[in-house]
Amino acid sequence: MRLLHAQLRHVRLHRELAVTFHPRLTLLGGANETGKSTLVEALHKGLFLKASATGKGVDELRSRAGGQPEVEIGFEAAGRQWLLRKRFSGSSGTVQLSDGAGTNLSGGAAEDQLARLLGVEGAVEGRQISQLPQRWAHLWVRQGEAGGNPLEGKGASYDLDRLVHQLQQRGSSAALESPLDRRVEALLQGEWEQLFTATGKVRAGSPLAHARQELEQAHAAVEQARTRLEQLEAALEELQRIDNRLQSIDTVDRPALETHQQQAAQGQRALEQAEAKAALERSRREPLAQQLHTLQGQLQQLTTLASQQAQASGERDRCRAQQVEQQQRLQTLAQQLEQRQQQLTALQQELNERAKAVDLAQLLVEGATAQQRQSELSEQRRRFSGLQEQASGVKTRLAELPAITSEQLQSLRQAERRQALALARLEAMAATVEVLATDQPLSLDGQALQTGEAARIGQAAELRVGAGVRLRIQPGGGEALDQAEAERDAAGQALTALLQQLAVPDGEQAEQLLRQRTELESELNQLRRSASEIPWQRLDSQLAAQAQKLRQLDAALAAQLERLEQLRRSGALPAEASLESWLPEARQLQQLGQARWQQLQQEQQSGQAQQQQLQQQAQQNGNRLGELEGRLAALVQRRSTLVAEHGSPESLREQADALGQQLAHHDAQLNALELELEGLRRQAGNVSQEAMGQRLQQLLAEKEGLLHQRGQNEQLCRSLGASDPQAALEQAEAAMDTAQERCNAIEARASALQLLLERFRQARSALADRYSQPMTLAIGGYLASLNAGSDAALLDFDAAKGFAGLQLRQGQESFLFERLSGGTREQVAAAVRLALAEVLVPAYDGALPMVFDDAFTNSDPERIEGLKRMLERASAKGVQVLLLSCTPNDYSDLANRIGKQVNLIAGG
Amino acid sequence: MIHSADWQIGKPYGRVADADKRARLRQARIDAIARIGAHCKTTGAAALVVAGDLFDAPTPAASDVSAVCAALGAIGCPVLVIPGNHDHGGAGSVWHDAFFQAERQRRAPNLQVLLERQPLELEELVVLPCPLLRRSDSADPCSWLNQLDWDGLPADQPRLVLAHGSIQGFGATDQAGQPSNDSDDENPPNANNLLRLDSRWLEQVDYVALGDWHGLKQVGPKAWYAGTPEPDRFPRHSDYRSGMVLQVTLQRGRLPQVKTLPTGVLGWHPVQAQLHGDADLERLEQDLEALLGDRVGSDLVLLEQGGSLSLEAHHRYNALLERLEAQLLRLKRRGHCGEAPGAGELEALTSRPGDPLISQVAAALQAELQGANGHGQEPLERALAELHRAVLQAEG
Repeated sequence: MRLLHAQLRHVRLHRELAVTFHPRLTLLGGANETGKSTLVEALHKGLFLKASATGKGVDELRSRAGGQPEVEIGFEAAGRQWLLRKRFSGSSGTVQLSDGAGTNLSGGAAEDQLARLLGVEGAVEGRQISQLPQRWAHLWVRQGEAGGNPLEGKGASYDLDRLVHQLQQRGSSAALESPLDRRVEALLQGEWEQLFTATGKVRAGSPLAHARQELEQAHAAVEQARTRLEQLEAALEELQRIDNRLQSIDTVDRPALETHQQQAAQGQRALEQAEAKAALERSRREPLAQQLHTLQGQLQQLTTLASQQAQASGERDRCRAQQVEQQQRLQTLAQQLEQRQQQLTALQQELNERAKAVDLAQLLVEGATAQQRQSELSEQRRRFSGLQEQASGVKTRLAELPAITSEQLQSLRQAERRQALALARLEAMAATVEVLATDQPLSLDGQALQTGEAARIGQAAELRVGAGVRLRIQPGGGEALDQAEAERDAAGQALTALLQQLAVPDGEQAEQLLRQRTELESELNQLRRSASEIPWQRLDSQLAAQAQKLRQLDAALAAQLERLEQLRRSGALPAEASLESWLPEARQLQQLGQARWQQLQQEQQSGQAQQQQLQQQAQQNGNRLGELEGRLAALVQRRSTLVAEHGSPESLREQADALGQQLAHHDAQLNALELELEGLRRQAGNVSQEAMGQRLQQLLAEKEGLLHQRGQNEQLCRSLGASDPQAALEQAEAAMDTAQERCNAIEARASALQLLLERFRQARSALADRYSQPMTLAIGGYLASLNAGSDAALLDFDAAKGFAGLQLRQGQESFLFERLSGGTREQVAAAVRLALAEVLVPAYDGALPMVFDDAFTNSDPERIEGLKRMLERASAKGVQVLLLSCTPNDYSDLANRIGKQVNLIAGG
Repeated sequence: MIHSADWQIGKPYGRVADADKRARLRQARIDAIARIGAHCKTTGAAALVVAGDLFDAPTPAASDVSAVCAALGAIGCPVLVIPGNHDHGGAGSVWHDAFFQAERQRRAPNLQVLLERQPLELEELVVLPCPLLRRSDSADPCSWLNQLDWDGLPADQPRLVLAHGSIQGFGATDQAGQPSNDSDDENPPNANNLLRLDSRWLEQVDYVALGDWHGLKQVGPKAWYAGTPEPDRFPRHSDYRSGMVLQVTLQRGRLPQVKTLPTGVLGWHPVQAQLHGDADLERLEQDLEALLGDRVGSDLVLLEQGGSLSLEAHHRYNALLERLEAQLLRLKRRGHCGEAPGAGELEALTSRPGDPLISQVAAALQAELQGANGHGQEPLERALAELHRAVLQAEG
């Protein structure tokens, strides 16, 4: 199918537009708003939108200037040339399609024939306007769509069926699948879907779900049956245990308990008899034991008295010896105390004397120090006043000198140097005329010159030689001479101004003055530094304070004058000159004397305390001695009384021995009886009659409980055994095996179905590769034209879904289309579209139009070159390129070479 | 006397799916009692001893109790029974049940259940019963014989020990290398009731009538297992015999004379079905024909399956199995007979140039199957079979 020409009337801004298309490439240039996109849309709607369509699709075509939009397209298809005319006037829209060979169709027939020629289902109705962009979407690249993935939409949007057919033709590929293939796969898929959901889960209500549920129930049934069987067996075991226990109670425990009770009663009687005998024996023994006890008490009393007497006598002797020793020690101690008291008194007196001498010496030393301090302060006062006077003189001299700074001196010196320099330069420019010999009168500017005379010429001068010769002598430098003179004058003026300002005759004088000023300032600074070393601020107040202190010290000394004389005479105080060195020694001696006094005082207190303690002890000892004397007398009196009443200790001992023998006889008899009793008690045991009665009651209660339990268990056995739990278990196990078998069979079948479906998919994929390969080869041809380093495009093919997974391989890496940059996407998309068109070309009589409406806005000039190569390649393979651009110059060379260029003008 | 054991009346045969067949199998065990009674009569037996497990459970159904009592009452001679592990003599078991007591008195006064381990002196025989009083007892039920005062027994009457249990531990094998117990996947090993045939008492007795092992078996010069009178499992080796009782002639101080008498009517047949082609299938059909003849409802077959058949042959095999299910009291299948397309069937799948997907999938599966070398073949075969079926279905 090839577009030949088109004519638009009343289509938006085009009142009338006619375009003829080149068979290979038509470049439609024009600025924005020149109607390029309108042309693209009008062509598309002319081909694919039903002429009688209403609504948005048609409204968009309408012109503001009125009139119904009309589109006329001439094209070649199916070996003939056709003319299509559509008038979009709503439901009354018309269509005519005719060829040069007598076919003239209109209305539905024309639309149908057009659809056949274009290879589409039919014209798009107005209400299906949303489907319109899908028509030839791979061939019609509108503004802003160039970077989209051409394979993204459904297969229909890029003519998949026709493409597959062409690819089959192209690669001699076998068909992808047969109807039987599809039926079998659908059958398998259907069976699989009966079992599983789309997410692979077991479908509720499916045979597999049933089988699994049955298996689960069978498991539960087995567990239940097993539990019942175990319960029955446990109940039977429990019954056996109950029977055994009942038998044991009746035949063993109860008879044993009764026998035990009888034996216990007999033992109790024997015990009572033995206890009565023992009581009788104890009653006979008791009076003898009392008598012996009394005798032993009396003997004990006598022994105790003798012992106490001996103890008191010994203690009295010791007290007497102590009394003598204490008296001697008290005497010695009193003498020591007296001596130490005398020492203390003498030492105290000595200390007092020395303290007074020290105080007086301190007073004298302080007076001398104060005197000296006052002298120092007066000297400082005097020096400070002298310095102030000197400074005042220096300041006066400074004020008398002109105020010249070093900067000013420097400026003056510079002015002098500048003047000298100007003079020297002027001097260098001047010429000299010297008369070596002359025979005629010479004059220079009227001034006669004699032989041997020389004249200096600083400016143009006239030299006359005789009467007839006049020479103008011009010194060198030209204008520079005037400039040098001007500089000299300026320097002279500047210097003069400075000298006047500083009031000095010249620089030398000024320098001398500055030196004087510097020396005076230095001297003033020196005086200030000296004055700052004197603490002049507090000098007067310190002098006053010092005088006050001196007066106080003099007064204190005057009060003690007499005592001072006394001390000096006694030699206790040295001469005034050596006082300062004497004072520390005297103080040290004073401290030592005080320490000695302290020590003696402590010793004295300790001696006094010792004396007091000894006196107390002597007092206590005397008291104790008195007590002991009294106690001894009482003890002797008491013992005599006892012997008189009960007899001597010897006779008492004899009586006691006789009684002891009688008691030993009775004790032996009692011991034998106790042994007998102990044996009887042991026989009776710890269990009382009452406890045995309780035990019997417990046994009877246990028996009753067991009988009750037996009844329950028998009932349980009957209940559990009624339905043959063993049979139930076996049947449940058999049912479980059957359910398991069924479940396994369904699962195995499901696995087989899954395996088959996977294999079908794999086989289809393997076949699909035969389609994707030629397609990627075609794309690869265009990518190579770009020279952009992209190796190839990668594609997946699925018979049902078409092409997908577009990737670009660069070197070892592959990139998804969507991940590419905007410019690269435009290029790759163009390559894919051109390849699609190339593959489809044979299905459309060797030609197929392709429209790019400002499609490469993201491409730089380098890429544009690559794109042009692609377009050229495509046009050589039958693709009729319609390139619309607002920068047509980019493509003019290509259009001029293989096609034509048409320029649209705004408003035209 | 006649020695029998392990009647296991009321055995549920829960593995048999069909309830009617289960009932017939149970009834066959009751019917065997009449044939045993006939042997008692014809041999003039002084007594019939049943060495345990007369009932299958300690709490049998009342109908079974009545049927057993009626059948035993019809036997003229005394019937001496000890409980075994299945119908142990513990409290709550059938032997203490009032209904049983009443039925025994009414229908079988000649029946004596021996629940005490003490000698029973009959007119011509001294019976030394070793009943089991619980399902599982670690104590030897015969141990009481070691303390027995043998001089207190009549010197001239033959002495019979009646006991139930195993004489070897589980897991052991006998001299022929066969398991020493007769359990299988449907008959779990009995509780661990071990009998010790101690020579101290063994030399004092003339015969030991044993129960528990369901096959006929002599375990000593004087000791026999009678086996079950009506077979209840598939024999695991050719020496296994059951479905009979023992006629035992006893004299004090002499070895017993033992003779077998047939009682069983049901055929339990293990059949090998290793099928690798049409010929094997035909041979199997012939073998079964020879084995079963026209009998219906009186045989049980254990089919040990193996091999693999073509889809068509497998279809025939399934038809055969269906017939057998109907004819037999039970068809038990063990193992698996695979189903895989035969050469022709495979050819039909792979040689389909017009159906590229089917032929490629079939060819790929076939190639994998050849490379599988015995491992993981089954899923591949199953997939091919499913494909074959789907193609047939899709082709209409």
